[in-house]
Amino acid sequence: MPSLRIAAVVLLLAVLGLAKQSFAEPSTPPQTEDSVDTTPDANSGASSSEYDNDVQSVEELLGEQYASEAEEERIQIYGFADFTYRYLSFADDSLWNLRLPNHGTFLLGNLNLYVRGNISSRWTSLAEVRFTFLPNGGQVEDVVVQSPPVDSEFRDDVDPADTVRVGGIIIERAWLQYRLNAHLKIRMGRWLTPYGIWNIDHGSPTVIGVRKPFIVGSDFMPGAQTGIQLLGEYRIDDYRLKYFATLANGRGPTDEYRDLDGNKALGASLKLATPWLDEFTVGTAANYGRDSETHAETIVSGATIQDVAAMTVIDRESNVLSVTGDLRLRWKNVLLIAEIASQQTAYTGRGRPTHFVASNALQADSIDVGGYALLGYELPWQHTILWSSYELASVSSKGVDLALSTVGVVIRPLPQVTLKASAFQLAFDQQAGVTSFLPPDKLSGFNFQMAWVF
Amino acid sequence: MFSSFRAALRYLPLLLCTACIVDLDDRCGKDQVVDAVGACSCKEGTELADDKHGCVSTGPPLPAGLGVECEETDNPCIDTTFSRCQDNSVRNYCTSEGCEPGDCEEGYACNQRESEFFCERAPIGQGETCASDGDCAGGEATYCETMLIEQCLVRGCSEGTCFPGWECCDLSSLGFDDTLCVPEGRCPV
Repeated sequence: MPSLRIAAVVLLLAVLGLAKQSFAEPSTPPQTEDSVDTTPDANSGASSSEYDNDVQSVEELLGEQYASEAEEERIQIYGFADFTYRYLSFADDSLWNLRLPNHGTFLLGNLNLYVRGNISSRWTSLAEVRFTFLPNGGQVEDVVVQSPPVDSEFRDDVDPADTVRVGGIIIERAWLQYRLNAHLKIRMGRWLTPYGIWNIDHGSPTVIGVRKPFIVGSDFMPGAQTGIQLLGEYRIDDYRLKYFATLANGRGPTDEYRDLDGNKALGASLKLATPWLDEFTVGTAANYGRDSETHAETIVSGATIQDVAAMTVIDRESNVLSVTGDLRLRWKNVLLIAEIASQQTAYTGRGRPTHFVASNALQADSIDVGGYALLGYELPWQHTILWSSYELASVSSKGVDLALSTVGVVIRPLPQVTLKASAFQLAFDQQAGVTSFLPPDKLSGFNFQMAWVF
Repeated sequence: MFSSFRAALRYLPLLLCTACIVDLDDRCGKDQVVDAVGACSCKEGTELADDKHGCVSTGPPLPAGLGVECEETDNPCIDTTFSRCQDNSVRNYCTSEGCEPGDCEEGYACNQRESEFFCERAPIGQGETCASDGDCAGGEATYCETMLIEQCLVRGCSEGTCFPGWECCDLSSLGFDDTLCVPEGRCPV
């Protein structure tokens, strides 16, 4: 594994101390907590004052521009975007050809717009939408035999000589929050699930890597939910405990706006920030709910309307328990981020689906588990961070194990502009006896990304 | 190294939770076993149900013709032994006539309430485990009794209409204006 060797070299250089300077001072002025609720992303409950160069929110990167406007403007509009060159390499006859290009590609990945409403000292709202070129070229479900990509190209009704490709909008979150007191807020709508490190703010200029860790992207824990969230924090000396409780629709194909079963998902999360080292934060979260997929069928037994009935048919139904743990520490120039997550899926007797490969058998209950560790080192130049990460996951629901090693660098010439480069190697391993739906071939590549806030 | 990491990963859930909902030694449903590819296959003597969510007993080999769906005129029973097409609210079926108690195959019982005795099929779904009425949908036993026995039961019976070995239970004494077929002797007094 060449990338592993590269990662080892980078880490060795980092540990030997190529640079001695500590992490830079915050680029954002500290904010007064629980005055006006202008915490960067109150989803995390984090203020910008607690983090240094390794920023955690888009608002933090906007710095004074955001902070000065926050107390004056009733509505703030801002966002982020990223542009990437991605090169992938795999065997010419690999099944990866079904879903990925075996060469380099430019891509505009994210264009996310935030609208924040500072309604009053106690009421706050936040909406985030992502503009996407999808569904054009999109493909459904990961299966070995891919369906044809969606073609959303139409003749322009304004200029019939022209054609346009219609894209889409993804509502990432939209919530209204009321601050009851210094220790408790209630948030209603769609919000990012308060767990771990990577999911707290998913803005590409804020996260270190070019892509999400596998356990985050695969939704071992739901990334976002629709429902009600209670959140708050409590301080004792230099310790700060953040707490969250959630009630949401649970999982399903339409969980953003329609619960397909009567059960609601319950969740809880804790995060403890300690004064140890320069930063030492641990967190844990759990979520339990039902994942349902249903459809309605019409039963016609006669010629009149009285002879027509409809019933709900369960296609898939399971109880899902997600548990995560995370650790974040910083000591001088060294940053360590680690997360682990598990997802247990127990099917009900009436909702056990057909196995993803063996059509004459059923899917077994499963425990998917995985994690990653990212080690970074800041150099005294342009807020540069050298980093390396290693991810592992055992995904028994898909019959596959994976290992991903990545090495990269992040440079922030300006707080609002982030440049990233990373190289990675991904290896899948089929679990014993299972014909996985994922290609067993190794996949390697690199990314150059430019991400910015505006 | 990959495999050793993988082995270690398997134990992570134990660290992450104290209330696991998946039993790794019992990852399948009723009448299912984990097969070589990690899927749940039906045990011997069972087969995938029509709804493809579970396994149902193939039972002992039934005589040809028993239980076959039929229509009196359009699709009559052609087996000479099971020549009677019995009306049923869900699905008519072929069965035999002239039985005595104990004569009928498993899942059938001799109905002696009518002038012509016949082997009556147990109501579809009766006695199956359930958690709500939804679990009983599509059968004859459409009511899920969730208080005591958690089974699908036939609702709206009258005296002498329940499957042999079962009795019609009037729940009015309990404050419910309803009747249910329950196993004989199980009707609360």
